[in-house]
This record gives sequence, C-alpha cells and structure tokens, in this order.
Amino acid sequence: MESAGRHTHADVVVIGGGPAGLAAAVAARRAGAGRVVIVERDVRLGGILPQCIHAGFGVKWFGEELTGPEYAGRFVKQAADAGAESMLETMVLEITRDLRVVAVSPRDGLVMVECGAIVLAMGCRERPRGALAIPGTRPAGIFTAGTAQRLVNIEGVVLGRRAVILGSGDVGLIMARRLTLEGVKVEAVVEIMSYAGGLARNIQQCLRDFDIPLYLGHTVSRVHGRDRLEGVSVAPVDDRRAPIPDKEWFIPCDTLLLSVGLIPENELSAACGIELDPATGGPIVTDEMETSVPGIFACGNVVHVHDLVDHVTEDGMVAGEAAAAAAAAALASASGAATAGAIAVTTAAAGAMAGAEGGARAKGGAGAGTRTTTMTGTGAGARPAHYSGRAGVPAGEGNGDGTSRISGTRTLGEIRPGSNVRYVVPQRFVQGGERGGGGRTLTISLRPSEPAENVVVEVSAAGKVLRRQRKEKVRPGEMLQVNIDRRTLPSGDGVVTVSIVSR
Amino acid sequence: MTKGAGEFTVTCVACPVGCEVTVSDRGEVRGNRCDRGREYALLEHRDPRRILTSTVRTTCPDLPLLPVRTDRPIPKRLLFEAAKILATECISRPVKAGDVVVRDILGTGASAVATDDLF
Amino acid sequence: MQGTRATQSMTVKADVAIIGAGVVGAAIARELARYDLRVVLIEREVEAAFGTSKANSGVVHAGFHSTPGTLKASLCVQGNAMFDDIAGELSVPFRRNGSLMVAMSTDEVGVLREHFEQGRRNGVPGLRLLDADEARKSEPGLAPEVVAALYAPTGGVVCPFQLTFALVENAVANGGAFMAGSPVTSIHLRDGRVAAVETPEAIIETAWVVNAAGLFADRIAAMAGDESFEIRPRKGEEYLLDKRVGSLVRSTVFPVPTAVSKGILVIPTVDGNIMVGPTAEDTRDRLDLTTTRAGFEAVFAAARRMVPSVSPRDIIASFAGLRAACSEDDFIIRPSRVARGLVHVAGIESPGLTAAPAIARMVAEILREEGLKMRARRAFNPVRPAPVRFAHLSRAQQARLVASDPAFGRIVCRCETVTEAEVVDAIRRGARTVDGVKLRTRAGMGRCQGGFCLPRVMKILSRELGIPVEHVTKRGPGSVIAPYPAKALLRESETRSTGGEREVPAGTMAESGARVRAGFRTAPAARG
Repeated sequence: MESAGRHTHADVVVIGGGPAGLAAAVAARRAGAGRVVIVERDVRLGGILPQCIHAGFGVKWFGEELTGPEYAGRFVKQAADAGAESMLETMVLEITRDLRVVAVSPRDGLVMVECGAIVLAMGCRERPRGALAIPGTRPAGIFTAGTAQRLVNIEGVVLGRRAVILGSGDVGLIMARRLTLEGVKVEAVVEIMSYAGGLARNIQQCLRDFDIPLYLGHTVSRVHGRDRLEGVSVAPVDDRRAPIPDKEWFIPCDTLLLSVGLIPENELSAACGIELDPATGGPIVTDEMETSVPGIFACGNVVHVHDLVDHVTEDGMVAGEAAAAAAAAALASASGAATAGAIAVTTAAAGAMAGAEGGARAKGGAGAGTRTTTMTGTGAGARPAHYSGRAGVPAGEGNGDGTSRISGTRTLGEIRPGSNVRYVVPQRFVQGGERGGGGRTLTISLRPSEPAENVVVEVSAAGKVLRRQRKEKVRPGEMLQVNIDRRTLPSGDGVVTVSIVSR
Repeated sequence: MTKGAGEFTVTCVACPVGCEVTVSDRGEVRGNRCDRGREYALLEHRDPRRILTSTVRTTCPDLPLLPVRTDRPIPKRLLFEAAKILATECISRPVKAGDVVVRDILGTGASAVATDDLF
Repeated sequence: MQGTRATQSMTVKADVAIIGAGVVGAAIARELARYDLRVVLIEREVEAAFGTSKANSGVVHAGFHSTPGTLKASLCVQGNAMFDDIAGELSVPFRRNGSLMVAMSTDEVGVLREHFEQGRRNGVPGLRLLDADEARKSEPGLAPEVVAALYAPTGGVVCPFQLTFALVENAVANGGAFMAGSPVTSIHLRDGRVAAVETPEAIIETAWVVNAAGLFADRIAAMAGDESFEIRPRKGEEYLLDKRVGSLVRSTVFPVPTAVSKGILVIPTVDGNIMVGPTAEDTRDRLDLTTTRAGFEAVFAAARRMVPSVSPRDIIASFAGLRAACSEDDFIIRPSRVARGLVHVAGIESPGLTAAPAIARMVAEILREEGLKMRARRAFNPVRPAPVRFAHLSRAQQARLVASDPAFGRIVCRCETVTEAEVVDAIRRGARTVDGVKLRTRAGMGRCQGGFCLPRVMKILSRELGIPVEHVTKRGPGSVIAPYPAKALLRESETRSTGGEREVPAGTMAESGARVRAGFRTAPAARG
C-alpha cells in the first residue's frame, strides 16, 4: 500500500485551520475526542486572519478588540493546549461519504485519513472579475480585494498608485483604508446596490475617515488599459442594474479591487454529495452543524458567509463538539458491530443501504401522520437515513445503519426563510436535541434580503408566533441572530419560519 | 462629514444600528437612539481617535512584513503621518506578539506593538 | 535559447527565419525541424501563442464550412486528419467530440443540405443529416426549436495554446531556435532577395523568411516592399463557463453560418468547460481586445437560442481575440512576388488552427520548390514529453510522484489542482509570465480565476527567473502586477526630502521598482 500513500486514523479531521477550524478542533478535544487533526493548506494556521491585520475581531468572544493575527494567535494556542494536531501545507483533494480524507503535502506526501467524523471549515473564496463580465480590456492591475490584502499585508508589495474599489463588501472597505495608509490614492468605492454591503463601522472608519467617496447605485462599466490598468469608466445603474451609458465618467487609476461577494468554498462538499443550500452556497446543516452526510459537519464561512469572526468561532465550537460525539458513537458502534459480527458502520455500502432503508421508513412515517424532513443527497441518490428516522424508534435499532451515532434515531425539524429573509442557518433542527451550542436555546442566524427599518424578526410555526424580536434597522450586510426556547418549538411536524415584517 | 455651518454628523458605530448622529455648533446632539450614541458623537466631534494598524518591514525573507498596532488610539489626523513613521522601520530581530516595535509615535505617547510573532 | 538577451545586436545565421510564434508559425517551425536546417522562430510577444492563438476557441473543424476548391477547404480537411497523430506525438489534449450544425427553422434546413453537399465535396468523412429527434437524442441540451442538424464525427476540440507551446518545444528540441520578445523591425534585402531579419537585439542572417506574423503579416510584408495584401482584423468575443455546466453539450454546436463567420458556437472545451462565442466584428485596431456589452448580449442570445440552458450566471472568464482576416477570400500561402525568399502565410483566420499542420507541410513544399535545400534530419524526434498533470493522475501515481519530488505535494492552484512542480516545469519549458503559467498549467483558469494562486505563482516566477517579485508581469513588458515593494509610496517624500533617492517616476514601474528596492538595502536599521 506504500504506493497509494500513507494511511492514518483520526477521530476528528478538521479541514481548514482558520477560525472555524481552530474552534472546532479545540471543542472536539475538549469534548473528549482522541486524535483531532487540523488539515491546513497554508504554511501556518489562522486561515485568512493573519492577513487581516486590522482590529475589530473578538469583541463578542473575548470582550476586546483584537487584530486578525492576534485573534488567530489565541486560538492557535488554545488548539495546541487542547492537544489538537495540525498538518500544514496540506491540501485536501477529496473527502468521501465513508469518512475518509485524502490530502497531499510536500512533507507527508499523499495521505489518507480514516476518520470518526469530519468537520468542513474551508471558508470562502472571492467572486472574481470574470463572473461579472465587465466590458473592456484585461490588463494587469485588477485584483480581488482579499488577494490584494494578501499581497499587500503578507507578501509585501504595493499594487499601484491610484485605486478604485468595486463593491462595498467589508474586505473592500478594509482595503480602502489599508491602501490609503500605504500611500495609495483611493479614488472611489463603487457599489451597484443602493446600499453598502459592508458593516456601518467600516463605512465610517475606512471610507469617511479618509474622505473616500462611496458611489451607491453605480458600477464600473468599462475597464481601460492594454497592459496595465489605465482607468475605469463608472456609471450609475438603472433599475435593472445596467449602467446608464450617457452618465458614464472616467476615473484614471492603475489598480482596481473587486469586493463583489464571497462564495462558500464547497468543491469538496459538492464532490462528495453533500446537499447544498442555493441561498447560502453552503451545506444544509442541523443545529449541531451536521451536513446531509452523517458524520460530516461544517462550520464558519463554508456554511454561509459571516460578517464577524466571533460567530464563526461559535459555529466551530458547536461543530467540533458534535463531531467529537459522532466520532465517539461511531467508535462505539463499530466495536459493537464487530463483536456482533455485523457490518461496519463507516463503509460506503452500509451508507447506501441505510439510505434506501431510511427512505422507505420515511414513507411509512408520512402515512402514520408524522411528517419528517428529508434531505436529498445530490450525489449517491441514496438519502441518508440519518435524517429520516422516526422519533420513537428505539436507539438500538438504528445501529449499523449510520442513523444513530449521536442520539439515536431522530426527527429533524425544518427552518425556512420567510418574507425579507434571504437565508437561515441552521436549516434543520434536531427534535428534542439540546446540543446546538445553547442548551435549551436554539440560535438561528439569518440575513435580510433588503434593508428595512422598524421591523420585527418573527419566528413562527404552524401559524403560531414563537418569538418576535424588534430591530431598528436591518441590512443585508449585517447578519442577524434570533434565539428561541427549544421548548416552544413544534414537535414532530416541525416547520419553523423566520420572517422580517414591519412593525 | 460636516453638515451646515458648524454642524458635525457621524455614523455611530457603538452598535450595529448605525444612527446618523449630529452635533450642533452649540454642542446639542440629535439623531442618536441611546446614550452611547451621544457619547460617541461628542467624542468624535471633540477628539476623534483611532487605533492604527499597519505593518513594519522585516529582514526575514519568509515574513517580509510584521503586523503592528498602536497600543492606544491616536488622533485621527495623525494616522497617515504615523503610517509614514512605521514605513521607515525595518525589524531584524525576533519579536513576539505584544512586543513594542516603535515607541511614542509622533509624541502621542502611543507605541506600535507587534500583533504577531516574527522568526 | 528563449529569453536570450544581449545589450548589443548579436548576429545569428539561419537557413530559415519564421516570423510569428502563433500556432501557424510554430507548426511551420516544427515541420521544418524535420529537416537539417537552422530554423529560427521569432516572436514579438514574450511567449509563444500570445497573439491570436491564445484567444482561439479550440475547435478542430471538420471542413464542411469552406467553399470547395479553396485552400481553406483542402487544408482544413487535411489538417483535421493529422490531428490524432500530432496531438498524440506532442501530448496535447484533443478530443473528437463531433460537430453539429443545427437548423432552427425549415428555411435553414436547406442551408444544412448545402453544407452537407459542400462537406462531401471537400472530402469530410462520415457526414450525416439528422432529423429533430435524432439531433436531440444525440444532444439533449438542444432547444426544442431545432428541426434538423448536420453531424460531422471528425469535428474536435483541442487546446490551442497547449498545441502552440508543444509545437515550439518540439521544434526547439529538434534544434530550432526560439527568440521571444523580439519584434521584427526590418527585413534586409539584397538584389531583390531577403538577406536578414532585424530585431532590436539581433540580426538574423537568412535567405528564407516565412511571414506567419498573423495580425501584422501585412506590415512584415511591407518591410520587404510587398504591399500585395492587407490584414483586416475581425474581433471575436468569447465567454467561458464554469466546469459545473461542462456537460451541457457533448458536440460543438454551430448555427447555420452568416456571411462573415461561422456564427456563435457552444463549445465543450477539451478541458471540460463550455465556451460560447465568438462574435465577429471588423475593427481597425490590431490591439483591440475589449469585450463589450453588445458582444456579451449577442453571444448569449445566440447561444441560448440553440442551447437554452447556457446562462451568463456561469461565466468565469471573458476575453476577445482578433482574427487575422485579410483582403482576400482565401488563406494567402505563397511566395512573395516582390521579395524572393519570402513566403507569406497570411490571412489565416478560421479554420486556421485546424489547417495549421497541413499549412506547415504546404510551406515546406513551397520552400523546396523555391530552391531551399532540405535534407531529412535523421535525429528528428516527433515526440514531446507530456507535462505532468497531477490532477489527472490516479491516487497511486500521485503518491509516487510526491514521494519522488515534494514540489508535487504543494498545491498552488486549488481550483484546478496544479502543483508547484508543474509551475516550475512550465517555466522551464518557456513560461515567463503569470498568463504563460496559466495557459500552460491551468493555474488561475478555474472558477476563482487566480484569487488563490496569483501570489503563489508570482513568488515561484520571481524565484525561478531570478527577478524581484515587483518585476513579475501578467503577460510581458508594461503589465507588471505589483510594481512597488512594501512601503515604497510612503517613503517617497522621505527620500525626496533627504535627497538620498530619486523620486519614483510614474509610468516606468518595473524599473523604478528596482531603484526603490536598491534604496532599501541602505535603509536605516530598526529603531525600537
């Protein structure tokens, strides 16, 4: 087997050593997982944090305002203290439904890790220029904001003298200030929407502090310059968001930064058939951050793009703890199965069988008047039984089919976005579960579709309002959270809707 | 940032609501929804200060830049001059996060401290 | 040979100089490398394929589009037949995915029949007319409005720049010389015959010159006093879609053609993406590579008519290329009537990529007929070793590779799974720029379009080429990516006031970067 690479085992493998992954590793170790390994593609842990040299991290988690490197430093230390291991400069090539991770690094070569549980913490990537198809030329000098941040803050180069930033996402706003303080003249930030994408504090402290104009409802309509960028045309947009040609003007610049959206990085997830939510771009998860594939959890920006790292850390903690429990249950049931001479739980065949069986059971459940939430696996076609068992089935019965690693066979409730809500996370909740990071409290994160004032975030089920939370202002750029007492959640049927309604 | 004669308006960042708070030339505050907004606006009006975060060059080829921050807020108007001071520095010794890299920038009493380890 | 630089003009003696390292010039260089000749391939850009070939759609045409009796028709069909061998020898990705020309109305069925007949006369093998059901059965993504289709099984797709790079590499491996970054500035004549080709850095003494200069072929001809034709560039915009939708169609889907072009196609690229385009727009500017809103709208309207699920939402890149169309209807492949020893290979628009191997053969014949002594090179090796594509290997192969060279374990481009070893190999094969690395390895061609790999590729280029990272370019002089070292702009006033360094002048970014960097070495040591 030497030729197919090294084999190893771990209880929990965390993919990605950014804030989500570090928190997951810490939590998994604290929850008793044996071997916890963080797989990180960069030469150091911290993910994107080391290049985020600005302050503003950790107000919620640590009660003080840290810079990115400082925030990362604290969690790197916590992970080390907790006894988590890391594999640096290691890229994961593949994850499988039977919980194997294939990775490669210059030091260790090709490695295959068999895991009790996997935590996805790959973060997100930036939407590139190509996706916008801005007319004009293709010169040097166009960067996504995060790439520019790495080049300026880590690699130690200056990108140009005069810059325009397209998009008012937080990374773009932060870079407007950063470039200014490196001596670059930032001519404008141009935002196609009628409202800013980033946090209000970043509008204030990155733009207004330096008198950088923000053009809302405008876009870069054309790129000029043959070899190196020479300028951009900027124009207001009409109600179809198309630039109005006769109102176009030219801004000379040699640098264009794009801060036009972040996309959860789910190539690995999609390739292994994890069901994704088109609204978030990330896996559909339960309140334990478990994906549609049993034993695979997800946290942080790979699930949905967060504005604050503190929330990413919270996600990671929930996922890490749940993954530790899943790994422990898998181990127990594998040894149990072994003594009984039954099939092992973590093989692909077993997973597929379980899917088929689970599907049948769900059907029966519907007939009995218990509507269960189903999650359709996109890959194997077999729906994981994990999500479709009925409440009341003895836990023991689930053994061997992968349904009962954590808390026996469970029913999942569903959480859906209602009016003016673009998405909710988690999209599922475990009936009667008490994990989810808050004991008796279930925390739902959501993002509005449109900005609004004087509104109420309303959580309801079966026509009954479970909770109303007043908000002065909501903006798509700012994630909201609402807590619900689990005891108020509907049992069985379990569809909860979250809406933003005017007061 | 200023509105009308002697009026001053700022987006409050004390919480995510983001009130537009105005301080009149006679020191009257309006637009705030809470006391924190009032205090924030008055301070922004009287003496706006910011933590400066930037980098300092190093002689380490793998980490050509060391991230730093000021250990206390400095007057906003001095941010750029302070960044220029940091631009003249070059670190050639091991540094731990929290170590002082440059003392008393521009007479503000604020020091630049490393926010990461070097070497 | 590549990247050879001299401050003084050097003199090079050659039997044949080929001007232009696009796919045509490269194919000619490789063809002539079969003979015991000193061949010099001269390219104005810093790398091969950086002109029209870079923006080619990669379609290997079956040959039913061209009028019988033209060079286009015969060389297309001949070239098409040569692709299996050439792609095999040179390890270039090539697939015969078939071409499908669709009729969207009964009026258009007549045009299909004409092309069926035309193709038969051109000698296109295996042509078939399909009815609506057959067409949709073979291509379920077609619109319900498709009433019939013409199917050509020999149609294919190739990677146009990989092919060009491979041709150059194989020519060089067989004794050819490649001079990149060398725009031809004049052609010396003696007694009505070419004597030398001059570039800013070299004089290439040669009695034979092949003009494969693409968009600039008429200017090269004019340098020898030959004004017998004119290049009239025709721009084409193309839009590349994500691999996620790479299986929308299997064959290359064509509409019935217009007067000026084959129309807007839906092309499954050899790398697994879908490409839609190109437009066809005459332009006077030979460097106009702009994409436009009108082009974008035209491409998607036309593509969606044939394949409705093509969507602009899936765009990952857009670009434009210029076809080197000319004042004549056919390819111009002939000896100059003005300067003896000069052979024009001009006006090579579509199906030029397909025809390239056959054009190369024809040019060799012309040279022989004109009197060039050509003796077969016994040591000619047609095989170009395949570059490793880590992503395409089995896990066991990958494991062995990393064990043999750890640089295969360092993934530089995550979208396309490109390793550091592949980037280094590409640079050793001739990549000098970020775009060159991208075209050779696919690093930066995936859906994140270089967001992750750009800083990494810049560092490797800097290291391997021995240049500061501030000198790394996107695609050659003037396209520096990050022109200044850290803190350079903040220190300008400081250096001005002390007079210790000159101010960085605007516009000369690469040079000034070097100057500022030199200043850093004497910068005061840390205080603190």
